[in-house]
Amino acid sequence: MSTFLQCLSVQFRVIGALVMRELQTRYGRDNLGFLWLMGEPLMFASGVLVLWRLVRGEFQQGIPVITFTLLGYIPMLLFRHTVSRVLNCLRDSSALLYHRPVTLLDVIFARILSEIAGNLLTFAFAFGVLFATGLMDWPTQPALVFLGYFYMAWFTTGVGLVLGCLSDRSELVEKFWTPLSYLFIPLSGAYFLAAWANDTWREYYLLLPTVSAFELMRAGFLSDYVRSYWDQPYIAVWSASTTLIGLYLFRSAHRHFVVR
Amino acid sequence: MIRALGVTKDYRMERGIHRAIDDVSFTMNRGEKIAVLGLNGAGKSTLIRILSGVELPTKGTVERQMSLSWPLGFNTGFHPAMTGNDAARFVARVYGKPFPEVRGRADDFAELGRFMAEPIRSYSSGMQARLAFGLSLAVDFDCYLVDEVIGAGDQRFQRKSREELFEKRVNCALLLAIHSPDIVRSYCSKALIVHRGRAKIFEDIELALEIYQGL
Repeated sequence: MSTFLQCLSVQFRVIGALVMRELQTRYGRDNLGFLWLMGEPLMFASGVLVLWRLVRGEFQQGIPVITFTLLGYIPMLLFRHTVSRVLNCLRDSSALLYHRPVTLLDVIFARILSEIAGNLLTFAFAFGVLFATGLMDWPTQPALVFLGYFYMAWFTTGVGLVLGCLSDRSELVEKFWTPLSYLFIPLSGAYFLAAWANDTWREYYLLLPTVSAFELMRAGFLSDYVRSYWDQPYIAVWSASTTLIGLYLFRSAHRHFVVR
Repeated sequence: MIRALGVTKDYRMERGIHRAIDDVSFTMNRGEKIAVLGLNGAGKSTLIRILSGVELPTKGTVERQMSLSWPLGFNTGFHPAMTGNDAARFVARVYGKPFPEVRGRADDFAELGRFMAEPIRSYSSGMQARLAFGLSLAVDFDCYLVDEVIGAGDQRFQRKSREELFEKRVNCALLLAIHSPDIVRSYCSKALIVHRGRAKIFEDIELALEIYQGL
């Protein structure tokens, strides 16, 4: 038992060191430093928020546009940015694998964790500003927002593990990812409410794995305006199975990995 | 003790498979200083990487009963955007040592001064080697794996690293890939000749050097 705990503490130490390294090298120490973690998504998000608010007005089909846009845009960025950053991550971090306590899995977890942390900070900051200025209301059911975000992060982790590992074996992964990541925008559930579909189509719509996550977050904020639909076991099964496949791929990854 | 048993490493090439290491077995005891002799491309670096655990063997096993350094060679083991201080912080965290001590001891050896705050990509290759070496000395491994890098440094670096490895650390084991017969004669008790992926230990240094010169 004590050796297991020791291993666990080494694991945490190593992942901590990798996350710090990630923040230092990506954002540097100049001006805002690691706060740039939020900078890029915030700039994107404010552009989108302003545009949608101008084009669509305050409400769209009876739903507050700003809340709707923020809840769609930021979690969608989480998935797209994390997976993009995870592709070829092993190759890029190859030098760090010179240190035996550092494993391939640590490297990819560190990257996924720092992306999730950045996205969560962005989400919190953007919500803070919008709430303070009265542009957004406090969520009616905060627990549902967290639950939806949790599934989004878990699913992202699973897909990130699988594609991160496969991208090291074949360049095709990267080639397919670019169009797929654009296709993900309309198919994610970020900008289309399940309530807008009729009963037959809604069933199919909910088969897209992340729709439930977005619907859960919207349920937390917009329950006074619209009904949300979700299937928790379904997205949990997707997240768990991608995570397991990812972990399985990593089991044999080290044997094939060439440290350059 | 470190024991390699039937270690074999295959790499996938554009065409077919390249066997870089072929069924290598040997034992290295605490405090032993072993020279690794072989032509370029014989498999020395691959063998060192496998011993250190950076890469896994295709077949065979490596048993490690002492702590091993990372391979100290031309690849530093750090990201080029990290500064010397970042690297010290990274090493301190990963190997569980206090940062001020790691930084202090590394810089005593590496003498980088103000450059500790600059990114590694701005270093000359000699400075990179000094940093990596200094950091590994700060961790106090039982065994150091050195891949040619000593022979490449300037005379001051060579003198300091000799002092550290051979004089101050008599009880440290050392596996040293090197081309200089003088260093082998003065400091090593055994030699491991690596040739076309095969490797054999020689207790007789002169014999080993003679074979090496005939390759």
